[in-house]
Amino acid sequence: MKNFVLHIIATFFIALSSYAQNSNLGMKLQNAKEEFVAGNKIKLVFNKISDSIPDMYYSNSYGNIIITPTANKKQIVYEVPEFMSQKSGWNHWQLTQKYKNIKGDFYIHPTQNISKIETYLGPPSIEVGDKDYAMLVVIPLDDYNNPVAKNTPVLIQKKHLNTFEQNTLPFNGMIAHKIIYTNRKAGRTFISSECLNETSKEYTLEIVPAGPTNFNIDFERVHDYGDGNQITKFYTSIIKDRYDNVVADGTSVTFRIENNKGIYLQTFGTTINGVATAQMVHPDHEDTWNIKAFIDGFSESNLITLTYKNAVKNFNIDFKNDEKHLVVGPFKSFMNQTLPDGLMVTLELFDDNEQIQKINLQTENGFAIFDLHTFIKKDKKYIIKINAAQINKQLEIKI
Amino acid sequence: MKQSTNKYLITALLIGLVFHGTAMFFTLETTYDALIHLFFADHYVNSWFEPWNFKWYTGFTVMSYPPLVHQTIALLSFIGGLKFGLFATALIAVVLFITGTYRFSLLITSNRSAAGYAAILATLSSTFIETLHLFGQLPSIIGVSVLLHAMPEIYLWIKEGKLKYLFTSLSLISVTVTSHHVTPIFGMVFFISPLIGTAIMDHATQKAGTLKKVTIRIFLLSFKELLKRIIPFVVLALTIIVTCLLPYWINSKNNPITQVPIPHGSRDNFIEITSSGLVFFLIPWGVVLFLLPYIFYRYYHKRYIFFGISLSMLTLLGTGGTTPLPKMILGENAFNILTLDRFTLWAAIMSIPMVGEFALRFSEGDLKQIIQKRFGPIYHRIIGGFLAFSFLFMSVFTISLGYFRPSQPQKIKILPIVNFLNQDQHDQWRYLTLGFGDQMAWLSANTKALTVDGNYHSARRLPELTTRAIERLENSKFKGIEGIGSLQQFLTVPEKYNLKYIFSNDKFYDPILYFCGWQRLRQLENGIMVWEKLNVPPISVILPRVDVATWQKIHWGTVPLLTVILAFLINSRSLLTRTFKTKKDQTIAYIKDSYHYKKFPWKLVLLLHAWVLFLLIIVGFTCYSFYIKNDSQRSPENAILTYYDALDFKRFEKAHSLINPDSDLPIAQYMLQVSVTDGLLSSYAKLDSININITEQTDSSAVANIKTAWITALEKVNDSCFKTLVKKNGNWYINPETINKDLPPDQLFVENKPTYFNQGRRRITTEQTYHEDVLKQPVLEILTAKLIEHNGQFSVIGEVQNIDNVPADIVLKGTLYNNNNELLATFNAKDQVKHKLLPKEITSFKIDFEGIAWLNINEKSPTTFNPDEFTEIDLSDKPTKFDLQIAGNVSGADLYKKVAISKLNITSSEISGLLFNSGTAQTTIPQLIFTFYDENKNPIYVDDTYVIEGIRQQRKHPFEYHIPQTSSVVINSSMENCFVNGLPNKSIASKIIDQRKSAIHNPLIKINHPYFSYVKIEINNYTGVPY
Repeated sequence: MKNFVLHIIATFFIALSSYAQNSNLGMKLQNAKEEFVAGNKIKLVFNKISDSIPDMYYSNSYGNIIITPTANKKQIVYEVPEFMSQKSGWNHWQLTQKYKNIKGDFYIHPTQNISKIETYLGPPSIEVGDKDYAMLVVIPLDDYNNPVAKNTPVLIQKKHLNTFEQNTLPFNGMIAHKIIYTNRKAGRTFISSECLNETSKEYTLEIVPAGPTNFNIDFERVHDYGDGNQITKFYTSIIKDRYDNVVADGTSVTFRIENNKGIYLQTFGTTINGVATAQMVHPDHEDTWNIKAFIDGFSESNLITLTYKNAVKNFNIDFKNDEKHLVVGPFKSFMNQTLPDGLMVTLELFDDNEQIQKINLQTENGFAIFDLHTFIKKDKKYIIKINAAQINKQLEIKI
Repeated sequence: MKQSTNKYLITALLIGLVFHGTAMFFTLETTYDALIHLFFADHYVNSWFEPWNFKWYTGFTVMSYPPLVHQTIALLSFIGGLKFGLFATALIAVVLFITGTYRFSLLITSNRSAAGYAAILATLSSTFIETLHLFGQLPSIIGVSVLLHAMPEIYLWIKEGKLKYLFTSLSLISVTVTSHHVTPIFGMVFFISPLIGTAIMDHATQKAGTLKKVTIRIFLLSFKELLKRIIPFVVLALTIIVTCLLPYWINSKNNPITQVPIPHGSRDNFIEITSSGLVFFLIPWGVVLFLLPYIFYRYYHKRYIFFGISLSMLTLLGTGGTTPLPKMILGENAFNILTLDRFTLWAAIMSIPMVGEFALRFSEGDLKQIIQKRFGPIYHRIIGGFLAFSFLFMSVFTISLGYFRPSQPQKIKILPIVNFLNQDQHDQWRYLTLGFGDQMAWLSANTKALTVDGNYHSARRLPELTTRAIERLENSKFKGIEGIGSLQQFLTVPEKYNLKYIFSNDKFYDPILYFCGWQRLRQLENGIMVWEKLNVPPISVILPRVDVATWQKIHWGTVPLLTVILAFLINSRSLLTRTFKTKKDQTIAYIKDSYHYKKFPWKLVLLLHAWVLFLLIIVGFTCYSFYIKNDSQRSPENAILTYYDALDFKRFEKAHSLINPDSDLPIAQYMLQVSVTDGLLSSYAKLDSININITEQTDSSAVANIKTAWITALEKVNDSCFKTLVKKNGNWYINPETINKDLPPDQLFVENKPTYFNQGRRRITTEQTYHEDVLKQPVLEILTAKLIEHNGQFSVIGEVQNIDNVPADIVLKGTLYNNNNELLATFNAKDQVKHKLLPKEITSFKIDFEGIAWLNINEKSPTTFNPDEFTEIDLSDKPTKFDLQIAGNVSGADLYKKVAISKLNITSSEISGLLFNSGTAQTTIPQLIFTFYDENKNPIYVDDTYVIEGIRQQRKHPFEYHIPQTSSVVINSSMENCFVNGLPNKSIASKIIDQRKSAIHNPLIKINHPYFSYVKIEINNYTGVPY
C-alpha cells in the first residue's frame, strides 16, 4: 500500500516536470517589465527557438486582440498597438498554440498630465433648507482619456453668495465625488474643480426658494360704489418662504371673494418679486365682500372685508304702446350721472304665468330699450318682470 | 392610292399637346391625385427596389399600387426633377390617349374621317379634361389609353388569327396592367368581351354574306370556330394580368384592405347631392348627353350589340347611388370599395367613336343633307353652332372648375417647412400637417421626416385609421365625428406615434391642439404655424417593416419597365409603318376605304330633337329652382340661410347686405363689430346644420327661431337664437343683433407678468445637448387620484399640483387593470385638465379611456357629428386598479390666468355667472373645469364646459353649465401606483408635507345636489394670439 502511494507521488512529479518542460519549450520573454505609462511604446520580445511562431492573445480594458509578431533570426517581437497601449489599467497577454502556457501581465499607469476634467453636477436646482442636496462628480482625465491615478488630489471650490469653501478630495474608484448641501439663502452657487493645475468649467447650482408661508393682502379701489364697472385691485405683501426668501416669480395666488350670498367668487394673480396682484370688477349692486387669498395647500392670507354701496338706487320702466317698446331707465349712478354703458338688464315676459321670453340687454346711455312688437299680440295681457342691479320691477301691459 | 397621314389626327395631336401641355402647369398640381403619384415616384427615386416606405402611416408598402407610371416619373425625374417627370409623363398620357381613341374609333367606325373627328373631340372632351386636370388620375388615363391601343390588335387576332397580333395585343395588355390594375380587369369585361363579340359577328357576317343573314346559329358556329383563338387569348391575357403584377396580388392577399368604406361622391344620389351629380355625371358626359339616343341607336345596331350592352351597363353603374341598381349589381362590398366615376369615364370613352361618327355625318355626311333638306341650311348652321358652343363651353368650364371652386387650399411654399424639419434634428420625430390638402404628399416627397398621416388610404395599417371612414387626418374637419375623433386620438397620445410637430394651415384645429396640451412654437415665413408637444420620445433608429422576398423586389423593380420595352419592340414595326405610312394598311380587316352611311333615319332626327328639348327643359327648370332657392331675399328663410352662409364663409359684405338698411348700421360699423368678436363660434367653427322655424310672420315682419349646429374641433356646438326680420320693397332683411356694450373703465392699464424663455441648447451645436443645458423636470404632486365609474364609463380623476418653482407642462397617462392585474386600457388626459401650470397651481383632471372607436366595423357609428362622443374601450373585464404616470416639463407658454369669476349663481342643476377678463390679453376660448366633491371633500367627478364666445380685455361674459344629475361611483382611490417623472408620488408628498400649512381645498363652494356636496371651478384660457 505504501509503495503504491509512493509510486503515485513519483509518477505525479515526473508528469509535472515533464509538463513544465514541455510548456515553455524554452521560449521566454526577454524584456519583462511590470509597469508602463500610457502612450509608451510596448514591445514584448521573445527569443526564437523554432520556426513555429505563435500569435499573442492580448487583453486589456479596451478589449481583446490577437497580435501577430514580427520575427528575425533570433527574436520574436510582439508590438502592442497604440490604441491598446494608451489605455491605463491591467494588461494580460498569452501566447497561442502550443505556447499557450506562456503568459503574463503588467500595469499601464495614466500619464501625469491632465488634459481635461469631466464634471457632472445634478440636479441643476435644489430647494433651500437643510435637507436638499446635489452631487458633484469629477473625473480628471490624462492625455489619453484615462482617469488619473488613484488618490490624486482633486480640489473642489464652491461659492454661494458671500461664502467660499474649498475641499480637497482624493480621487478614488475612478471618480471624485462630493455631496453639495443646500443653503438657507436662495441664490446661485458656483462650483469649480481643479486637479494637477488643470481646471474645470464653471458650474452653477440654483438654490431655489421653498414653499410660501402665510402673507397679508390689501386692496385699492377708486370708489366704494357697486356700479358693475370700476375695478378693485388686490395685492399681497411680499410672500416669502420660511427662510425669508422671496418665493419664485410666477407663483400662483388665488383670491377668494365671499359675497353676501355666501358664494365664492375668484380672481387670480401671479407673484413678481413676491407680490401678486389681482383685479375684480365691482359688483353691480350693494354687496359685502370677505376676501382671503391663498396658495392652495401651502399658505393663506388674512381676511379683509369690503363693502360696496348701491350705485343704482332706482330706475323707471315705461311701455310705449305705439311702438311696443319697453323703455327701462334712466339708470343713474352715485352722483346722479348717467351710469356707464353695460349694466345687464333682464326682462322676462309672462303670458298667463308662463314665461314666453327672456331677454338680456345692456344699458346704453343709461337706458335699455326692449323691442317687444314681435312677441306681443293684441288684446292679450302680459306681465313683464325687470331685474337690474338686484332691483326687481314688474309691469302689466295690454294693447 | 397613296396613303396620306390623317390630318384630323394630326390636328388632334397638335391641339392636345398645346392645350393640355399649357393648361397642366396650372392645374395638375392642384388635382386630387397627381401629388400622390409624385410621392410614389419620389419613393422609387430613392429606393427603386425596396418597396417599404417609412414616410407615411408608420410605414407601408408601395406594392399596393401598380408602379409603371410612378417609375416612369422617377426615371424622367433624373433628367429634370420630380415635377419635370410628372409633366412629361402627363404629356405622354395625352399623346397615348389621343392616338388610342383614334385607333379605337377607327376600329369601331371603320372610317378614317370619323375616327379623326373622334380624336379631336376626345382631346377636348370634358371627361378627359376632368380626369387629367381635375382628378390627376395619370395611371388610369395611361391604362385605358394603352387598352384602347390594344383593342385593334385583339380584334385582328380574333379575326385573322395571325400570331403577331396575339403578341402585340398581349404586350399592350401587360403595359396596361402595370400602369393601372383595375383597368384591365374591368376592361376585360366591358371592352374586350364586347370586342370579341363584334369580331365573331364580323366573322359570321363574312360567312353568311350579309349582316342581316346572321342568325344565332351562324353566330354560335362562328363562335365555336373562333374559340381556338379566343381561349388562348383570354388565358394568356389573364396570366399576364396576374404575373406582371404578381407582387401586388401577393401583397393584397397578405395584407387585405381592412379600411372601412370611405364615403365617395361617386356613390351619392346625384339628384340629392347636386355637386356630386355635377362632378361625377354631368361633367364626364358633357355634351355627349345630347347625343345619347344616337349613341345607343348605333351601339344597339346588330354588329355592335355587345358594345351596346356594355355601354348600358357602364352608364348605369356610373349613376352611383341615384338608383339602387348599381349597388344590387356590384354587391354591397364592391360598391363601397370601388369609386364609380370610373364607369362613367369608360362609358364616355366608349361613346367617343360614335360621337366622332355623328360629327362626321353632321358636318359632311347624310345627317347634314337631311337637316338641310328638311329645315334649311341656316338651321343646320345654328344647330352646329349650338353644339360646338356647348361642347367648348363644357371644356372650358371643366378645366377652369378648379379655379372657381378650388378643391385644394392655396399653394403652400414648402421650403420653410422642409428647412424647419432639417434643423436641429426635428426630423427625429414624426410630424403631422393640418389643412394642407393633397399638398401634404408634395411635402412628404421633399423631406426625409416621417408623418403619421398619409394620402393613400388603401395602404394604411394603423387601426386608428383603418377603422374610421376618413381620408386623411389633415382634412379631418370635413369628415365629421370620424375625422375629428380620429385626430383627437392622435393628438392625445402623440408619444405612441413619436408625433412631436404639427404644421397647421387651418386655425380651425387650433383650439383642440391647445386643449390637448400642444403649444405654439412659431409661425414659419410661409404663414404655417408650428405646434409642438413636450415629453415625446424620438423615433427609434430601427423601425419595424414587413419584408418581402427578394425575387418580388426584383420583379417589382424590373418587370413594369420591361413590359414597356417589350411592347415597343413588338409594336415597333407596325408603329413605324403607321406613322410614316410606308405601307398601305387598306388591308387591315376593319377599315373600309369608302364607307357610305345609309340614309340617316328621319325618326332618329326627331328623337334627337325631342331628347335635346327634354334635356334643355330639365336644365332650365334646374336653373330656375336654383334661382328660387338662392334668391336671398325672397323669403325670411332664404334671407336667414344666406346670412348664415355668408357668415360661415366670412363673406361679411354679403352678410351686411342682408341687414335691415333702416337699422343705421353702416358697413364700417358692421365690420368693426365683426372684427372685435372672437371665440369658438365666430373663429373656429364650421356650420353643420341650420334649422329655421318662422314662429310669426306678417306681411312686413317675421320672427324666426334659428337652431344652428356648428362643428368645432372641440365639440359640436348647438346654438339657438331668435331673429326678427322686416320686409322692405319686397325684400326681407334681418335686424342686426345687439352687441356687447360693456364699457371698460380703464383706457390704458398696465399689468406685470412673468414671462419665461428657455434657451434650449446654449451652444450652437448639433452634438447631443450638454447635460447642464437640460432643465430639471418640474416636481409635481398628485394630490388625489381615483378610479371612478360614471354612466357606465370608467375614468381616472384627481388633482395635481405643480410644487416646483417653474411653470410646467404636464402629461398624464392612466392605465387600467383588472383584478388579476391584467392591463385593460391606457390613455392620456385629453382636454379635461389644465396642461400648463404655474408654480404652486393646482389642476383637476379626468382621463377618459377612449378605445379605438368602433372597433367592430359592423357596429353602427352615429351618423351625426359629435367629436365629444367616443366609444369606450372594450374592457374585457371590469377595471379595479389603475396606475397614473405624470410627467412635467418646463414650459413658459400659454400661462394666461387673468380671467376671474365675477358673478356666480348655483342651483342644484345649473351653475351660471359672469367671467371677467382682468388682464391684457383677449381670451379666445375660456374653458371651465368643474370638480365635484363628496361631503368629505373628496373629488368624485370632473367635468368641463367651453364658453363659445371670447372675452375681451376688462369685459364680462356670461357662462352657463348644467350639473350632471347622476352619481359617480368611486371604484378605487388607492394612490399606491401614482408616479411623477418616474418617481413614486409618495416620496414627493412626504418631502413636501412639512411645508403644507394650509388646506388644499380652499375654493370649494357648497352646493345643494343629490350626489355632490361641493364644487370647485377652475378656468383654462386659450388665447388666439400667443400670450
